[in-house]
Formats: sequence, C-alpha cells, structure tokens
Amino acid sequence: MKLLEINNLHTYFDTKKGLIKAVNGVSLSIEEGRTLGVVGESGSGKSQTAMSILKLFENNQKIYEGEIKFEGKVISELSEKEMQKIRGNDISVIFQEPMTSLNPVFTVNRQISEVLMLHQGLNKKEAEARSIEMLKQVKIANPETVNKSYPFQLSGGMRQRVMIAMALACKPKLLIADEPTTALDVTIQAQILKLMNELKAETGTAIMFITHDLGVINQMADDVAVMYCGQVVETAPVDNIFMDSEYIHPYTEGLLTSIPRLNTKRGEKLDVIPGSVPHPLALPQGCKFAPRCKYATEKCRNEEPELKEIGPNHQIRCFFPVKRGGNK
Amino acid sequence: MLRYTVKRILSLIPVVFIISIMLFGLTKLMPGDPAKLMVQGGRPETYDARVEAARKSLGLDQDVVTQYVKWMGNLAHGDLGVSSTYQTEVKNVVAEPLKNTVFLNFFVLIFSLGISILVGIRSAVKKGSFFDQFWQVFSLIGMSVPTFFVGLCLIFIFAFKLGWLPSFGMPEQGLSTGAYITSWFRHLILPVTTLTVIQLAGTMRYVRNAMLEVLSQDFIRTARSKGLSQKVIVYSHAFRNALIPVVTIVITQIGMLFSGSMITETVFQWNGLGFILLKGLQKRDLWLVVSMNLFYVVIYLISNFIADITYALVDPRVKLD
Repeated sequence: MKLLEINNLHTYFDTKKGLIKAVNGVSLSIEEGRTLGVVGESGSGKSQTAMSILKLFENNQKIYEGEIKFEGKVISELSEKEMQKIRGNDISVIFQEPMTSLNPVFTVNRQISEVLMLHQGLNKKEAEARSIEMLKQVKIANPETVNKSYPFQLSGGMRQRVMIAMALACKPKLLIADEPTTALDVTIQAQILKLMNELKAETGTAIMFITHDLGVINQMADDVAVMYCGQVVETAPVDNIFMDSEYIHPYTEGLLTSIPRLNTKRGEKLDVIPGSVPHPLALPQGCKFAPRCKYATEKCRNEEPELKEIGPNHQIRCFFPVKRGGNK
Repeated sequence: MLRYTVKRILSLIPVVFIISIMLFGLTKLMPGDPAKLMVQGGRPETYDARVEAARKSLGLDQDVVTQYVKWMGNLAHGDLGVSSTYQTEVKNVVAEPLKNTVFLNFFVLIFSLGISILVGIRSAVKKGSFFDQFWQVFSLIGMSVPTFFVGLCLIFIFAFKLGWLPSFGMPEQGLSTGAYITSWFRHLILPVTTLTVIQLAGTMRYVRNAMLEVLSQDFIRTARSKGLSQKVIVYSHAFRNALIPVVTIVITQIGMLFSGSMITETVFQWNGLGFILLKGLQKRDLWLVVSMNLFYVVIYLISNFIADITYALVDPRVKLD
C-alpha cells in the first residue's frame, strides 16, 4: 500500500528576484515499509520536496500547486497546528548536520523526552526511561551516560545516532533522512547506514532517503527517484536503475558513469556530465536537462517531456531514453 | 566551581589595589585645591590660616604617599574619609543618594529588560514586519539622541506643556506618608522613563540580533520537525540559546543599579550618586570623588565576575576551572 503519495507538487520561494521553483511538478510515492532513495545534484529540489511533506518552510516558501497524501489523507492542506501533530510523530526527519542539529544547551534526555511527552503523553520519568531505551536501540554503548550528556560532549557519529533515536522515538511510519551521512567520516557513515537498515527491518518504518551518493542509494534503497531541476526525471526499483532496465534516463546514465570504479585505470578520465545545474531563475525551455544532454535534439529543446511509464514501476521523463551500454 | 570562585575573588584584590593607585593619582592630578574651595568667604586676614586648618582636617598636609596609605588603611576599616563639600564623613554623604540611585535604577532595569526582551524576541520572530520596523526606528533614535535631550523633551511635554508631572527634584519634606510616597513616584516617572528609553534602545537590538542568530540555526529546524509549537521553539529552544550573549549585557546593567547616571540625575535634580559625584567633582572633593570611583570599580569588577559565573549556568559548554 502507498504510505505517501506526492502528486504534481510545486513548492516555490517568493524572492525579490522572482519565483524560485525549487520543486516544480514532483510526483512520487513511497510504499509502506520500503525505502525510497531520492538522488540528484545540489539544488535539484530533493531536500525541498522532503521539507514540503512536513511543511517545514521558510517564510517566503509555500506549496503553489499539487497535493501530498499520507495514509490516503491529504496533508498538504493542513494548518500549522495540525501539521505539528504529524511532525515527529507520524513523520520525522534526520538532518545532514549532526553537529548543529541538536540544541547545544539541552541534554540528550531533554531533547528526546520532549517528543515523547508531546506526542505520546508520557510523564518525565517514563520519557526518560524510554529515551534510554531508544539510545540502546540505536546501539549506543553507554545509554545512561549519553542520555545525561550535552551534544557538545558527543562525537558526530554519536550525535547522528541520537538524532535517529529522537526521530524514531514515537515510532513514526515515515522517516525522512536528508543526507544523514554526508557530514560523517566514511567508517561512521557505514555504521550509520547499517544501523538504519537494521532499524528499518525491526520497526518497518518507511524511509525517504535523500542523498547525492549513488553508492549509498544502492546500499539503502528499494526504489529510486532521480531528481533534476525540481522534477523527478526517473523513478524505478533500485535494481532497474543499477542493472536490469534496458532503458534509462540520460541524466541517470551520466550519474552512473561518473562514479569511479575499482577497474577504472589510473589516468583514465571519468565521464562527467558537462555544464552545471541551470540557475533556478533561468530554467531552460523544453527538457530541463537538454542543455547538458549529449543526446538532445531540437524537440528536447522546445518541448517538455512528461513522466512516462516504460516498464513495470519504471517511469522516465525523456523523449529518447538511452539504451544501457548502448551508443557510449 | 568553588575553586574558580575563590581564585577569581583572590585575583580581584591586586586589581582593586592597582586601580586604587591610578584613581588616587588621577584625582590628585586634578587642578584646584579642595581646602581653598572649602573656606571660601570669611575674613581675608584669616584666610591662610583657615586654608591650613582645612588642609589639616582633610589630611592633605601630609605627602602624597602617606595620604594614599592612610586612605587605603581607613578604607579597610570602612572609613571613606571626609567630604570637603559637605564637611562630614563620605559615608554619611553617600548613604541617601545611594538609596535613591538604586531605587531609580531598579525600576529602569525592570522596565528596560522586560520590554527589550519581549520586543527583541518578537522583532526577531516577525523580522521585517511593521512591529519590527517601528522598534528598529525607535531603537535607532534612542541610541543616537543624547540622554539629556530625551530628559528635556519629556520635561517639556509632561511637566511644562501638560503639567501632569513635576519637572524635577525630590519630593518635598513634611508630607504625610501617603502623600510622600505618591510624590516620590511622581518625581520618579520622568527620570525612569528617560533612562529606560536609552537603555531599551540598545538592549532591545542586542536581544533581537541574538535571537535572529539563533533562529537561523539548524537545531531550530530540528525543533520544528519534532512538532513543537512555535511558542516552545521561540521561548524555550531559541531564547535559551540567545540568553548566552544577552547575559553579559544584563549583568553589566545590574552593576549600573548602583552607579547612577550623572546626566539624568543632574537634569532631573535627582539626589542620586551621579548627582553627588558631579557636585564633588566641581568642588574638587578629593575623598568623596576618589572613594566613589573606587566603589564603582568594585561594583564593576563584581558584576563582571557574576557574569562569568552566570555564563557557566546558562551555557553547559562553559566550564569554569
């Protein structure tokens, strides 16, 4: 069953220079208990899509069009008060920066207990016990000590574990992980990813995993959505993207071929996608990727392609999907 | 913490000692002779003798070093010396004004802090709104206009034009207790308002900036993502962090409780410490001036010390060792 469904979502920033279309017609869905990996370059709108789900907006930001359904209920129309009941309870978030995402002047206990007392109606004592339990669950070796600590006394990896414990405290149905390991060392990153997979198996929480790292996607995700310029350009089960599918989006191909591999020879140049993401205030006409696409034709530059089904659960926004391993 | 406290207090002793030498030296360097100013008038033929006698009574006939040592020695016994202006002990001269000053500044502190915290927080939360812009302009004016000007404006409006309040001075003697207290407060309103406006202008901006800084931090977004209400986020998560820079300014203002403000007290003829100090300076009242200044120094050092300790209380990252 679909836990979360986003239909034609448009989230814009109203700035002095004009509307910035951070999310420009995103449609995607997350199945119960599955992990959706959202991948894309910086500025592709992946974080803004995630923030739209909980309406964690800046003052000048709002949803202009489209809807978000959670458990079959439209939540994109809810008031701030109603959203507060969902945040941290049904849907919670872990952020990229563990070093700065915890309040420096409150203890871990206070920060975890807070959600429990707010959403589950626990009293202080119960919340504290539960907080220690949560820290145990995220494999913190000395949960009692950590529970009493302030964030500055913990390392980055530990803080991210605390963030995860806090996010999972109320047993949410959906966990949004916004590049949760980007700021961590590679070894810590591996530990955290492993932990998240274990917790997912234990709790059955669905995860929206945002990253720009395809390697991480391969490790974490069941399904993948590739984003470019505020749009989903391809969505498919993870194996389709990495191996099975005959056709893929040229942008996905670009992302895949730009990963260094073990058999890449010394001195051999990596394939890179030429150019850079267009400025959000000067988006190209037609296909947004056309200016950087080596397969682009006149049609691509004039008309905008729709997201089209090309296989089971596999959709691509492209007139001419690339045959894998084809004319390279 | 205890070790730190003891260490800090001990380290204050040499500081006070050195500053006392500087203060004494500077005050002695002032031109003018308190003894001469003390014996003005009278018969000219006894003038020299009277100056000599005054000098002796003030202890100014000895050499500078002896004067200093005696002064410090007396201070240790709580003896602040004799005022040449009032011809009585400094202790007695400052007792009443000290009370008046603390009284005045107590209200200023309560109002300026209370208003600036409320307004500062709201301005930061509603940055760019009419509310914010109004108070920003207010603060700009309050910070650029001199104190005496604000005082004179208030006198002009509320005392001279509207006639609601006394323009300056202290309550008259010989009133019944009830009338005396009413009169006291009526005299208090304008100086309190003047000082509050001036204090408020700066403190408010300080609170606002501290809050703005905190509100843009990642952990505020985390707090929102947890489903906390705006109220909890602003007044608990954010303000608790903004408190750290705000504490410094608050503590220095507590020091101000005692220091009095020369200008406002003079404009309103409020018999406070600042008023007395100005009079003392005009009369070259050595012991009054030097003892009062040393008192200010001690107050200042103590409030700094309290600020340091308060840091450790509001910010767990600060450890005092």
